[in-house]
Amino acid sequence: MRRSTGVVFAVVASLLVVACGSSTTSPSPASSQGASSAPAASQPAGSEPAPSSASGGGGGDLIFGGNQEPAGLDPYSAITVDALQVTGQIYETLLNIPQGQLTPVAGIATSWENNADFTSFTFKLRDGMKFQNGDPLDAAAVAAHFDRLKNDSATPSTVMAALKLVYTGATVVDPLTVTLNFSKPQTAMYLTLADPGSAITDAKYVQSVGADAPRMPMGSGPFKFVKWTQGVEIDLAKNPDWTWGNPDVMGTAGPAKLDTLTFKYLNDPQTRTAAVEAGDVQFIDLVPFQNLGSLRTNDKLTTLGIPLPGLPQGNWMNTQIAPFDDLAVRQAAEYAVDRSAIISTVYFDLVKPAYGPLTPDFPDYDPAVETMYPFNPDKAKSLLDGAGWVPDATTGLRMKDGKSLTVRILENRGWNDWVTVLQDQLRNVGFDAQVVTEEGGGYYAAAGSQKYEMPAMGSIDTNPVQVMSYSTAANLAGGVNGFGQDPKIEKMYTDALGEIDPAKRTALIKEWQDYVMQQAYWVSIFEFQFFSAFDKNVQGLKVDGTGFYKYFANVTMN
Amino acid sequence: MALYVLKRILLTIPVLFATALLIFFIFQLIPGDVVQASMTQKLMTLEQQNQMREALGLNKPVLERAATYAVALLHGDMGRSFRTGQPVLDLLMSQLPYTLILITASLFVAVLIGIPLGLAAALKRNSAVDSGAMTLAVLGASIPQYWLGLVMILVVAVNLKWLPATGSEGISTLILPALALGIAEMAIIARLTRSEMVEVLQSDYVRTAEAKGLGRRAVVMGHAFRNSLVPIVTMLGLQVGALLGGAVVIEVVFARPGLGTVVVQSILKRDIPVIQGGILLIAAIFVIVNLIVDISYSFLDPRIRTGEGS
Repeated sequence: MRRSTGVVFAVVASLLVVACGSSTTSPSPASSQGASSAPAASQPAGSEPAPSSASGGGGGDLIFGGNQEPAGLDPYSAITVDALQVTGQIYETLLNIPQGQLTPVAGIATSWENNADFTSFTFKLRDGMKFQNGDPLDAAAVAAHFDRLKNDSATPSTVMAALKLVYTGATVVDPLTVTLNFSKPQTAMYLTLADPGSAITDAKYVQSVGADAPRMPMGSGPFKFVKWTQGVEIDLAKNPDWTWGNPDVMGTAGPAKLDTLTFKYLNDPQTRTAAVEAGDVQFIDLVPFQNLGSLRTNDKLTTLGIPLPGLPQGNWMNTQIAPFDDLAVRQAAEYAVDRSAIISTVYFDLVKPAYGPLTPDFPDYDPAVETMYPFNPDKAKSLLDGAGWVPDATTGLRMKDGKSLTVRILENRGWNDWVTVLQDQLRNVGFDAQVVTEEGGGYYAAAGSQKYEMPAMGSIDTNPVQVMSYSTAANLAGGVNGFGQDPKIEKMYTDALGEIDPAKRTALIKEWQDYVMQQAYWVSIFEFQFFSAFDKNVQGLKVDGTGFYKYFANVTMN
Repeated sequence: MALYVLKRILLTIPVLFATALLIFFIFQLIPGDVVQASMTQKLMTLEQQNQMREALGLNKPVLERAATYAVALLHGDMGRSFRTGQPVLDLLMSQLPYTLILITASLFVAVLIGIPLGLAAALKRNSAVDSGAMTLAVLGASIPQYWLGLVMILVVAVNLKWLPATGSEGISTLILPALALGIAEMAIIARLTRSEMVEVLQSDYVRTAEAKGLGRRAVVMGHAFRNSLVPIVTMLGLQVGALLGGAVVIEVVFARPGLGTVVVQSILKRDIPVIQGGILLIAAIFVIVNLIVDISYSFLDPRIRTGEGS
């Protein structure tokens, strides 16, 4: 018997041949040592004051619970917000956008200017900066970084891909001055260069590590890469040489106060929430709205939500198919929406209502859209009556020529929780509203088919002209534009794209907002926020102007 | 025996190859690609999307891509991840140990709790012990693993703070996921052990052994239990497949690294080379485990070894 029982356990134990190794990468070049340098003096127009003196200390370790493990950490090719959240700690950008504003301030450039037609941009850099391997971060390094657009075979990030189409080259004026040149006007260049996706890499280092560059990041920022254990965590440690930060952005000139910063990935939102409650991690991002209630009442945690700029959360109305090919029907849908009910029911009154196709953070925002379509179900019904849609005596849902007033709201699972309340509100005025749920890639494919009446959408963007582009015909097939096409919008977009006068560009962007809403192409619901929750001991956090990216250089663990 | 094992292994190769191609074509039918799946709350214009497709070779005809993939697979190359650019095999092998640890721990839960529970129920048939054990077994089989995992996290990790909710370092992070994954299998093993033992205990040879004056322990463990083992071991082998499937969910719930997490992420991101590689690897593990089970029969039942059995 003993032998037979042993066989059973031998079968089980045979599976216990488990290797204990894991895929770990760590940087091969030795980290730099030694000196820091004084920041450069401030410059005229487009400049920022020099940072205050360095102050380190504090210490401590922080574990960040993110959503999805990044595919790579080379900002040149990183495309997800999860990746850029990590690269934002390792790398630096020429400019920054501080929390609460969308106007660029100094980053590793202290001053900047452009030529009259916005095709040439000159940047004066801080003196004494260096990458974490000791290579100097100077004008030649910045030029070499942008020359990756010509030489690098890696797929560039969204930001860099846009520049790749127009970049003609860089000129090193002197060791601390570099000029970037483009073939077409780049009116949003300063915002582009403040995006974490355009952070400056060490092209020489990238070339030396080759295909490993995305897994062995090395920048000039407050934290340096230590190791990446795939599927487990990404470990960063303080870069003691970093003393040139902009305190208005980072909260400190440096060095970073934390000793280590670890990123773990907890894809399931419930697990992410439980992990911060259990103390496994000290910081989580992308908190599901339904979990905010319990987290906000937890006296050991702080919650933080900042509205994000871009295209608000809302729904396109597809003019290419009935019934939204009729302006009156689209306007009826606008009047049927009760934003305050959606926000209180689904989002616990934690977000702000949105009224147009642009969030109000932008100087180009037009507040006129706020009064265009107040909640008025009677007006919605009257518009539908006028358009010939008659309510059925028993169901209340409207019909016309034997056809029902059907609209299918297309939802991207996990991102558009408002759609069921919207469905109810539309049904209240007689729409036969239905919800169709797709996910991820399937969602954009469905939206791109242009067969759905109301695709839900939203985007984080710092460039209002990029938001305008989402309403152009070129983006119909990509699943981004869900309303159709309109020659007037095409012209507004083309004009705004080429307009170098800021006032005229703003006027065009405002005109676009008004027109989109007059034509009722878009139902705006609310300004999107990503909520974070973190241990109350986490002090000194800074957030960038997009409201999404967090900077941990100034964080201490009390 | 060696010839038999070799034949079994060779037979799996065309099956796995066909599986890989089938997965490739199934994913062509599903709308959306890795480019569109990359857009969450940061949209890309169509021009930007197409640039990325071209860089990944996704704009080539489906048949051309399928042929390229098939040829590479025949050379042992599973391709590279669309998302990370890493070789798929390297990526999967880095995650395999975590999944094997979880499955093995869950099997221990299933065996170490399930068999004693089933034995106790069989030996105390129709008693309170039997009812209690089988109630536990029914509950274990009925509770969804996902729900059980979340409840365990909430009670044990968040409220009591006895064990961590997430992670993969040390034995303490393994206990909750192994229980959440293993309890359903424990229930199946307990019920099977009970039914097999009840049947065997009524056999003539057991009565003969008792008539010969053998002690209760010797009869139960030496004669009855040994003869119940073949179906139990068969079930254990089959349950490895269920555990591999369950690990996909449990790894995500407990934020553990592993094949399941990689496959789920890849499905959500339409990273087809990784999905294909992951499924192939899971299928290969299942085949190998069942081969081990088949071989173990000959040790459990000498009639199989000598060809007397069926």
